[in-house]
Amino acid sequence: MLKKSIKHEFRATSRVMLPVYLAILALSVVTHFAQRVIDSQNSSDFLRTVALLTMVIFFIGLAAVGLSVIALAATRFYRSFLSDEGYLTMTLPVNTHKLISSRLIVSVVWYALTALVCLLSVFLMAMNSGDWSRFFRGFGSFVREVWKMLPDLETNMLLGMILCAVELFLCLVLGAALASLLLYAAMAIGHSFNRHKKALSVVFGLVFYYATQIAAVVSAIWIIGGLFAKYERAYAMDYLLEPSMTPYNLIIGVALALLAAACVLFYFLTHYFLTRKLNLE
Amino acid sequence: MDWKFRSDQPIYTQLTARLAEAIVAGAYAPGERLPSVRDLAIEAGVNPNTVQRALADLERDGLVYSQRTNGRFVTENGEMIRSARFRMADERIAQFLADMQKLGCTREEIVTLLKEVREEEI
Amino acid sequence: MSLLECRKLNKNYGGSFALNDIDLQIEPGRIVGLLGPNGSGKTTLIKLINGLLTPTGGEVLIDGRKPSPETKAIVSYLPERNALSEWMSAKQAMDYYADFFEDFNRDKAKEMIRNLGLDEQARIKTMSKGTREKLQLILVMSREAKLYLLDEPIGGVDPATRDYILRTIISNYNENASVIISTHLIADVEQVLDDVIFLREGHIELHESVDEIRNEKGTSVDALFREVFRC
Repeated sequence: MLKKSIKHEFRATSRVMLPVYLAILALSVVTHFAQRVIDSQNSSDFLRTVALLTMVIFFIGLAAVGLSVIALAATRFYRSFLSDEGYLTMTLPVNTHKLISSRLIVSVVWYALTALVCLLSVFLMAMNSGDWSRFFRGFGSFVREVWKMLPDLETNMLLGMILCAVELFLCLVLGAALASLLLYAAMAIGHSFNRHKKALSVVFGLVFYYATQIAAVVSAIWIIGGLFAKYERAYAMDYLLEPSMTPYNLIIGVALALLAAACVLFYFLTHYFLTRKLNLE
Repeated sequence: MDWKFRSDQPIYTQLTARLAEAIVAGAYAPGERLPSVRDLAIEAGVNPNTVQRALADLERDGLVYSQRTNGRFVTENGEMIRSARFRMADERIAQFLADMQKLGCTREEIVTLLKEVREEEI
Repeated sequence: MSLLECRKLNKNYGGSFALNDIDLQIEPGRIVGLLGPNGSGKTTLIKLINGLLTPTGGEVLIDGRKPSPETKAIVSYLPERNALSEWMSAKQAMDYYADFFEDFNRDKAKEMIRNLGLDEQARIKTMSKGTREKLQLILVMSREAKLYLLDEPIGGVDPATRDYILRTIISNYNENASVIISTHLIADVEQVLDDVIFLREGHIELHESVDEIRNEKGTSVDALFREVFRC
């Protein structure tokens, strides 16, 4: 049933996101030519103004795409569970964990795709045909360099680097999941009240957001000021003799654990309020 | 058939009476298969359990018999149908007479009136 | 075993009782009317049965089990509101039902869509309120469920459709399944009911067969209801 829920969630979201992607990619191509107009010597002032305006619209559009994917995650959750559609969603023969995870997984996939599409559209906008070949050549030689370096690396160092990459990737995934889960929990709690459901959702959203920010700052101070310093000292001497990724792995690992804890907390809140305190109108 | 029901009696008794009428009037011929419970229920717009109960009543009275797999049939016993017809006619005549008495008609007047009606309308 | 059983079922919202010590058993093969004025607890009871609410006390058992994905698979629920995604077409809504409910009979749904003159390709967004209600009812009645929970199924539709709906309920009847119809339009549904439950202020005032009521009281359920709930 998780597969089916995910399938339907993609069906419901792709009808919004795909046109948005097409629009921003098309806009980036238009902006690419606008840029040429600006660069060219013999453009009229009028053309230049239009071109500049296009550039501005492109960057506003880029921001809008970023916002739209978050807004979509929030509205999908609201529609599925807390609006009238909740009467159907919550009476499907699917347990609530699968219902929530399907929305969560799909939202994270869209965050990732959106990041890629935005990156691509900036490239399309900024790069000329010459730039592309230079880019690929540069990228190719970078890969070759790394490849050449590999045999010289200690196995431990290499494993540490891979672990580091995996950890950073998981941080991104959990960070994205946290963004959705924070919104889910705020809405699930806000809508458990009899009145002012939407206003309370916003209040809970802000409270959760700032609480998370403060927790992040506090833990960053703790990690960098405490852990990092301690490990730096402990490893500083050895590092010269035997370079190691271990301190970095540990530190990112702690951050990862904190992120995971925040995700679990918001997930638990969401699940509890959807199953025990559901209050559909 | 007209499927309006009165509100002061159980629906199944009204349904029994309506089906019995249909049988004695020949709307369902002797030996004919009756519609299924579901079809009757849909036609009359009533609960299937009600139809079931009405048919069980008819069966008890002998107007209908059931074959285990084929459904229910009107009895082939003509005598049974005739006697049901007269029993129902008697009930209505009794009702009719009671109504006439309420209007203050004497026995003789009723008979005369009936004879006149017969000449004019039948 | 009863198809539906409520034992000492209680629900309170913020201190006040919406349902108070409900004891109820419904056997398979019954069509039951759940009647009561607004705020008497009809919708609360239905929401407890399909798991949209959690009881404050007591329990609900459907086919011997507490509300769960397993019971939801055998309960077909018609909510009072339009719960279908507005962007879907009737056909996509059928796909959705077919995917999630194993007992969904697509042929039956298609036939009803034809009979009621709906357009499969039309988007729900463009449908009138009445058409949406019809579509939702078609989907709910096209499941081969064990318990149908219909919350105000004939509230907003025209008399011809009301007739069609009632006939659908009758033709859908089977002796292993039960139907619970919550409504305030008693006169319209009375003929199709086996039993009625009168709810008043969160408790069961009466649970009786329609035939018994007519036999003993010599009056229709509608008239009895007016008498019991006279203002």
